[in-house]
Amino acid sequence: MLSLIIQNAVSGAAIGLLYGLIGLGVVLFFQTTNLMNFAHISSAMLGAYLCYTYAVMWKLPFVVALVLAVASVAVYGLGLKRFVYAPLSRRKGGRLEFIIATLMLSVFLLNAVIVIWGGVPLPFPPAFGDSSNPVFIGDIAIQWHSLWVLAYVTVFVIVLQFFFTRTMTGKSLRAVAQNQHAAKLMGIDVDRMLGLSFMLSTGVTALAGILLAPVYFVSLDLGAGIIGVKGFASAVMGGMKRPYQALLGGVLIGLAENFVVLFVSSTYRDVITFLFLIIFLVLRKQAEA
Amino acid sequence: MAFLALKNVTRRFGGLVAVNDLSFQLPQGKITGLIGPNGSGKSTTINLISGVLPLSAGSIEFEGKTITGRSPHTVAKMGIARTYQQIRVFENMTALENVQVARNGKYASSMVDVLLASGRLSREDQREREISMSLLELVGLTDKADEMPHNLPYGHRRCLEIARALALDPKLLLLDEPAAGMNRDEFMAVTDLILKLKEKGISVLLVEHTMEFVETVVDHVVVLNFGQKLAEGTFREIEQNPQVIEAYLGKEGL
Amino acid sequence: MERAKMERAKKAALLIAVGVFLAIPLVDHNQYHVYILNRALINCMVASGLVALTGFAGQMSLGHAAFYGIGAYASALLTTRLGFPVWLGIVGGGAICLLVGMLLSIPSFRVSGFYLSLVTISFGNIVWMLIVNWQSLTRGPLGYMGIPSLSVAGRPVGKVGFFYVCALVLGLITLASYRLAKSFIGRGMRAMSDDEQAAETAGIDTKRMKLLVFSLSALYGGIAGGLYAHLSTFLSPESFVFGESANFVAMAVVGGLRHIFGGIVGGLVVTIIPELLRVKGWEIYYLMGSSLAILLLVILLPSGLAPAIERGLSYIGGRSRSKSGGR
Repeated sequence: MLSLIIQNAVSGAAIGLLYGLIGLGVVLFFQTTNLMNFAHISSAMLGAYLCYTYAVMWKLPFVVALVLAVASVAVYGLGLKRFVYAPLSRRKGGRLEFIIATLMLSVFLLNAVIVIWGGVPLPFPPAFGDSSNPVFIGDIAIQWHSLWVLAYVTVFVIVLQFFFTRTMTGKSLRAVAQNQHAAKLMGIDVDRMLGLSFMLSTGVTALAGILLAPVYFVSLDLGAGIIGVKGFASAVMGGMKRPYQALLGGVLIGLAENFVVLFVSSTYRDVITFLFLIIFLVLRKQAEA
Repeated sequence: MAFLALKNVTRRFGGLVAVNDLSFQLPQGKITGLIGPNGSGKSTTINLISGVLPLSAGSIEFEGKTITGRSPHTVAKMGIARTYQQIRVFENMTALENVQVARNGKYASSMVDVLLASGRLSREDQREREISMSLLELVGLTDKADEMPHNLPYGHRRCLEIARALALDPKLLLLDEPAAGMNRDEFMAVTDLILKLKEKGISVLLVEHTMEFVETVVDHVVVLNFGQKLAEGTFREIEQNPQVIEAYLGKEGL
Repeated sequence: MERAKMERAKKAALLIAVGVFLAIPLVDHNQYHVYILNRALINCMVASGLVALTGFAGQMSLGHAAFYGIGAYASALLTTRLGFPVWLGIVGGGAICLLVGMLLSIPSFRVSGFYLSLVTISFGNIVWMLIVNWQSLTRGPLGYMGIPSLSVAGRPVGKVGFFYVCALVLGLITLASYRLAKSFIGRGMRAMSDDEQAAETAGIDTKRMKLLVFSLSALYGGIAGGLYAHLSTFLSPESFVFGESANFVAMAVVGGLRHIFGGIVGGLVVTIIPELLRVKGWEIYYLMGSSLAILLLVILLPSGLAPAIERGLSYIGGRSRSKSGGR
C-alpha cells in the first residue's frame, strides 16, 4: 500500500511539475504584458509535434531535436508578438480582443496541426525511458520519465534563476515586469524585453509539452482540452505573480489528481482542477478584503 | 445626535495600521478640514466613511444611523457624496452623462418602463436632464455638456467630478484633495464653489494639503498623524499647537 | 442640420439592408441556405446578449454556450415530456436561463476580468458535463431526438416561416437592447464598466446592475437555445462545448462589442464566413481558413465591423455631399 502511494506521489508530482511549468509560462507572460494568452497551450502542442518531426522524421539526435523544437516555438512566440500583440495594441485593442484573437489562433493552430500531421496521435520516441521498465527502489517502481522530468525542470529552474539574478537581461526583464514605465526611464528597451518575454513564455511551455508527450502522446490533447486549464490553474495558485509558486501549484494539482484517481475514481480526475481554481479564487479575494 | 460620528475607527492592512482608534464628530453645516502629513490616514478615512473600505474596528454613524459595513452606493444614497484625489470621472461618457448617471437613484421608473419606453420614463428623463444641466451650470460647465472628459482641462475635470457628486443631493460632501494640481484661477474657482455649497447648507469634509486653501475655507480642523487624531479645533488653534507643528516640521521645526 | 440629414440617410440605408435581408428566403429556395440563415439569426441573439454583458457592462463570459444549452434542453424537455406548446417551451427555457444567469452574476460581485472568465469557463464546463452525464434527462451523447418543430395555430411553420419568427425575435431583442442602452439603466452599466468603484460612490448599485445584465444576456441565450432545439429537432452535447462559447464571444468581438448592432453583424459574419469557405475539395482547410479569417478581423478591426461599417457609411455620405458641391 505504502509503495503504491509513493509511486503515485512521484508520478503525480512529476506531471504536476509540468503543469506548473506551463503555469510558469503563463505567469511570465502575464507579469510583463498583463494579458491572458488563450493560445498559450498551443505552444506545448507545437513543441511536441516539432520535436517529433525533428527527432523521428528528420532523424536528428534527440537532444538536438528537443532544443531545436523549443527554439522554434520561441521564434513562433516572437511572431505572436509581432503579428498579433503589436497590431492589436496599435489599434487600441484591449484584453478581451487579445483573448479572442489568441483563442482563434489556438483553433487555427489546432486545425493546422491536423492538416500537417493528421489527427491521429503519434508515438513519442522513447528518449525518456521505457514505461514498462521502471527503476525499482525496494518495492517502489519509479518511472524513468518522472526522473527525467525532475532533472530537466531542476536544471531549467537553476538556469532561469541564474538568468534572472545574475544577467543584465534577466534583471531588465524583472524590472519591466515590476514597473514598465520606470524601466523605460532607466533606459531599458522595453519592446525588446517584451519580445523576450513572449519567447520565454512560449519556449518554456514547449519544453513542458515535449516532456508531457510520453504521457499524453504527441496528440491534439496537448493543445486542446484540460491541460491548458491545469496550466492556468497552476498560474492562479501562484498568484499570477510568482513563477516558482506556480510550479508548486502544479505539483499540488498533480498530486491531488493522482490521489483522487487512486482512492476515488478516475471520472473525477479533472474536477480537481476546477475545485482548486474556485477555492484559490475565493481565498485570494478573502485575503484582499 | 451628531451629524457624522466616527467612533474608535480602525483600519488595518495586514500588519500596517492606517487608521488607529480614530474618533471625532463632524459639525453640520460647516466646512471641516482633515489635514495631516503624508501617510497620516486622511484618504483612508475618506474611503472608510464612503464605504469603499470596510472597517477593521469601530463604527461610523451618520445622522444617527449606522453606516459601518454598508456598501458605497448605500452610503451615497443616504446623503454622503465624495470625490477622489486622482479625479475619477467616467472617461467613456460625456460630461452631461457623468452628472446624469449620479441621478439614477432618483428614478422611480423600472426596467419595465425602459423596455416599454413609457411616458413616466420620458418625463423623468426630461426632469433629470434639466437638473443635471443646472448642476453643470453651477460649476461653470454649461457649454461643455457634450464634451468627453479627456478633452477637458484639469480644472474642469475636477469641477465635473464635483457636479457629479452634487447630483446625489448630498448632505455631506467628502472632498479628497480638490485643489491638488491646480493653478491660481482654478484654485479660486473651487474655493468659491465650496463656499457656495456651504451657503446651500451642504456640509463638507475636506482633505487638503495646501494650508492656504484650508485656512481660507474651513471653519473647523481635525489633524491626523499616524492614523490617529492629533488635534482638533479652529485653524488658529491648531496652527499654534506644538504637536501639530512638530508633526509637520519635525522637532527642530519653526 | 447636416447631422440630422446624415442620421436619416443612415436610417434609410439600414432599413434597405434589413429589407433586402428579409427578402432573401423568398428569393433563394436552397433549403440549406435558409437553414444557415436561421442558425445565423439564432447566433445573433446570443451574440447580442454578450455585447450587452461584455461590451456594455464590462463583464466577461466565456461560458455562454451553457445558457444556449440549458435553453435548448429545457425547451426540448418541456415540449416532449410535459406537452408544452413550442412557444411556451422556448419561453420556459428562457425563464430558467434568466434564473441561472442571476446565479452566475454572484461570482462577478467578487471577481472580475481574467478571474471572472475562468469562473465562467468553469460554469460552462460544468453545465456541459451535466448535459453529458445526466443521461436520464438529456440522453447524453446519444442525443435528444423527436423535438417538435415550431407551429403556429396548429400548422407547422417550415424553414422560411421559422426565419421570419427568428427575425422578429431578434428584432425585439435588439429593440430591448437599444432602449436599455439609451436609458438611465444603460448609463449606469456604462459607468460601472468604466470605473466600478466610482460608479458605486456615485450611487449606482453595481450588484443589481450585474444581476440585471447577466440575467438579460442569459435570457437571450436561453431563447436562442430554445429556438435552436425546435429548428434542428435534435440535440447533442457536442453543440454546447467550450468552443461554442468562444465562438459566441468571437461574434460579439468581430461584430463590435460596443455597438448596438455588434451582435447582429458578428453573428451573421461568423456564421456565414465558414460556409462561404466550404468550397468543394478544400474541406479540411475550411476550419483553418475561418479561424484565420476571424483572427485577422479581430487584429485589424478590434472595435468590430459594425462601427467600421458605420464609419464607412459616414465617409461615403460626406464624400458624395462634397462632390455635389454642397456645403
